[in-house]
Amino acid sequence: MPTAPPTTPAPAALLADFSDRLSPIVVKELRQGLRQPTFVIAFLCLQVLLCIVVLVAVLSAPVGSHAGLRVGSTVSGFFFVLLGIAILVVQPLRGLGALATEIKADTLDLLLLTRLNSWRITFGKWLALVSQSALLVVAVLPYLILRYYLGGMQLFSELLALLTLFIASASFTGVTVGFSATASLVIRGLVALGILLVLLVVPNMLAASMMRGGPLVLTLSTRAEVYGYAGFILMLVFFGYYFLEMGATQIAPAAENRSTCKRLVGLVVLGLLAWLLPNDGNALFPCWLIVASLLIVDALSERPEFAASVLRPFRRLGPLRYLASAFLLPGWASGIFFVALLVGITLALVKADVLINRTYADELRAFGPLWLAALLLPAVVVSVFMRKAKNLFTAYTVVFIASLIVALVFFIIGQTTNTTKQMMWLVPVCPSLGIMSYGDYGRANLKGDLLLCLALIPCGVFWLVLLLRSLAHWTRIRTLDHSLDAKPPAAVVTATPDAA
Amino acid sequence: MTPAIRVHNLHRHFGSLKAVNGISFEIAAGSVCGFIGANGAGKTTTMRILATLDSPGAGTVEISGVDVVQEPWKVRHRLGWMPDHFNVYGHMSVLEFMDFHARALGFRGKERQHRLQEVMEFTDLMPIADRPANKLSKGMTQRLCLGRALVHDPDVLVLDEPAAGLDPQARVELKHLIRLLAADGKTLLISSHILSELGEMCDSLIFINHGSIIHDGDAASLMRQTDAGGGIYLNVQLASNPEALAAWCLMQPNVKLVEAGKHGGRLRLATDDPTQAAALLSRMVKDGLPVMEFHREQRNLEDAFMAMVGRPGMQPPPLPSQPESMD
Repeated sequence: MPTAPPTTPAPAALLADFSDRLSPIVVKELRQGLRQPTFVIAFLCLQVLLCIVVLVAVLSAPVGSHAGLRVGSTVSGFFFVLLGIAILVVQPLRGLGALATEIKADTLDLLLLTRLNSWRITFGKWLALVSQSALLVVAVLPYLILRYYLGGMQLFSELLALLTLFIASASFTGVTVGFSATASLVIRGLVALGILLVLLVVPNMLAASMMRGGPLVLTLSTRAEVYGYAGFILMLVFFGYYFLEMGATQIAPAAENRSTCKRLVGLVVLGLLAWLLPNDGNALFPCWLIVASLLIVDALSERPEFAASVLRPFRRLGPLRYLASAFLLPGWASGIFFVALLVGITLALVKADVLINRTYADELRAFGPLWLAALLLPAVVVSVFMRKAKNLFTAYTVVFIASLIVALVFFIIGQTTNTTKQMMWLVPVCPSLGIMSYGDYGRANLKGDLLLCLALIPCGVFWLVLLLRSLAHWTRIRTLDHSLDAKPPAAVVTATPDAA
Repeated sequence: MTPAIRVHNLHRHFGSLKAVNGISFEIAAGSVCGFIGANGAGKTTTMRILATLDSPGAGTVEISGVDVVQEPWKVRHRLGWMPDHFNVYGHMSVLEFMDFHARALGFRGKERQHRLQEVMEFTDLMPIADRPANKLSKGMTQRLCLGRALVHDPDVLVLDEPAAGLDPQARVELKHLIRLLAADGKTLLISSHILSELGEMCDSLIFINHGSIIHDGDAASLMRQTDAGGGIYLNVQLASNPEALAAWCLMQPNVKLVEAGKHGGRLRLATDDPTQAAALLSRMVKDGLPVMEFHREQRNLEDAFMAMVGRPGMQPPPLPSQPESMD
């Protein structure tokens, strides 16, 4: 490029505020984020409020006195409530605009043209927000030290609670950043509502716990507690990762494969949970259900389009490529086989008494199929009736929520008219109703094979419908695969349904 | 020699809408090509596919011999993309914006600073380096956008409507930058509605209409291709009552008002005989039209464009300059 030799001092030389080793997107987000009023106000408010609380506490009770111990607990309560609001609510809520602003401003294309892939963009945005949360946490540590001198502090428990709070904040931020790629304002609004519910519940819970003498009394004194805590943290980490991956998947170009990694990570997390479960007395079984459910939802709601280049790594696997493709290719077509794999693994582990003890397993044996059917139903509706939906995840979520509302209506009707038992015959078309009634009439009156049959029928039918609907996609994938054999590349190069 | 851009039988359909319908063209390395078409003709879709931002439904697209579908990462190293709508981030200065893109393109340390200095001087962004990036004029924003596209020194530049919305001065500046880039051996594909400027800058012109290419060649071949009817173009300005010119033209055989202006308009006289123009002027004066100005004009690209796309039911003409290898 013809340019004159530099004559003026390079302003670029002044831009040494962030290291070259940091991700560019983190640098950009920190430059923007640290100047945003939301962060500045949250930071200053937290400082001012904690300053007032500590000052009042120190002035009202002498350090080391009996009154000081009581005041110390109260200060801890305030400390965690205020910090909880800042990092569990304010910071995650900021994440809701992370990718949405890029999409709205049409700047995402420019980002994807650099060396940043969709994961680095999403992860960088999350990391910048979490760094700001870390800054908030670090900035309030002096108040924790001051509170220590008031006495009565359970140092390990409170530090552990602080760490848990921070990890939960990071996980929540992952959820909001991931959802920020969703165009639907309704979905993003629901996420915001969920976060606001946290605002109502968690700080009160923390405050109540503190007043009772400890932050949720996280002592980790027994082996089972340690395993349980590890499993809970593992689930939180996966939760954040899953939604970040979901966001990355939505902004990824057709040539980028995010699914394979996501599914493999999910299997590893399930493996770790299966290892932890027997050690904590199966209390982590809900964590397994949550992780497996997230994987199922994701596998069933992925868009089936991808570019031919995605198939290349699979082709290197030789004869195993067909097996790997069936479970790990992007899109819901392979997702239905992945769901079958997850169900198979879960059944095997239940049979081996790893996931849950036999008593519970017997009681819950119809619950699993009901839950699976409830997750399969939206996928069937979307694949049959909403084939042109732009965002399959949004469509899936909307149908899922609608099915829950319908089930709730039937459940209430059944409760008020004493016809819950008769309503159970609707389970094959409305599996969520079976789940809602499970603790009531389901377990008590339809405990036997009948409820299991009512649950298994929709599972089988829904899965078969999805299998049939996926055949067209498998045909396209095969064409894509063949296009890679041709030299020069054959005409059809993507699996988009609107290809000529 | 490998063409800088090679598009073969490219299709891109959105449902029933055939945005791009089997187009093929090649652009030689180091040349400047104008990409012309009405709104919705398929320009931006084609350009987005070239920039790896969209996938072709069918067909192949190569940038410097690299397939955009098979190896999009490689293509992005070789191609600079300037979109028609360019938005910047709030809370960032021009320098911070450029710095972010340099980092994102893999520039580190001194190399990054040197590259930023080079690009910002070339695009004259230095004086506004500290200005907020979202508070720039349209011209400055376009320079910033071009600067961003040049950070990684790409061989091929795809510029989508770079002159849209610019004032005359900013347009002249942009044209100057494009000329410098062309002189530096870059391959440029530029879409624009300002056809006269494209005609001056471009080595070749591609006309696209309803997703199909209707011309691929230089400006001269375009003129020949669309000049089947011949005719003389005349610019007529009246002292008053310009509507009278339109009314008068309706009464005249072989005369058509091509474009109405504030004080007159452009006429097309359906003959190649210059003496007929003189006779026309004589008739105008005789009929009482207050003619202030009367001169002959060359057919311009707008005329050719209108001749190409303006005729209803027109079939795309054969492409005389299509390389044989495309078949």
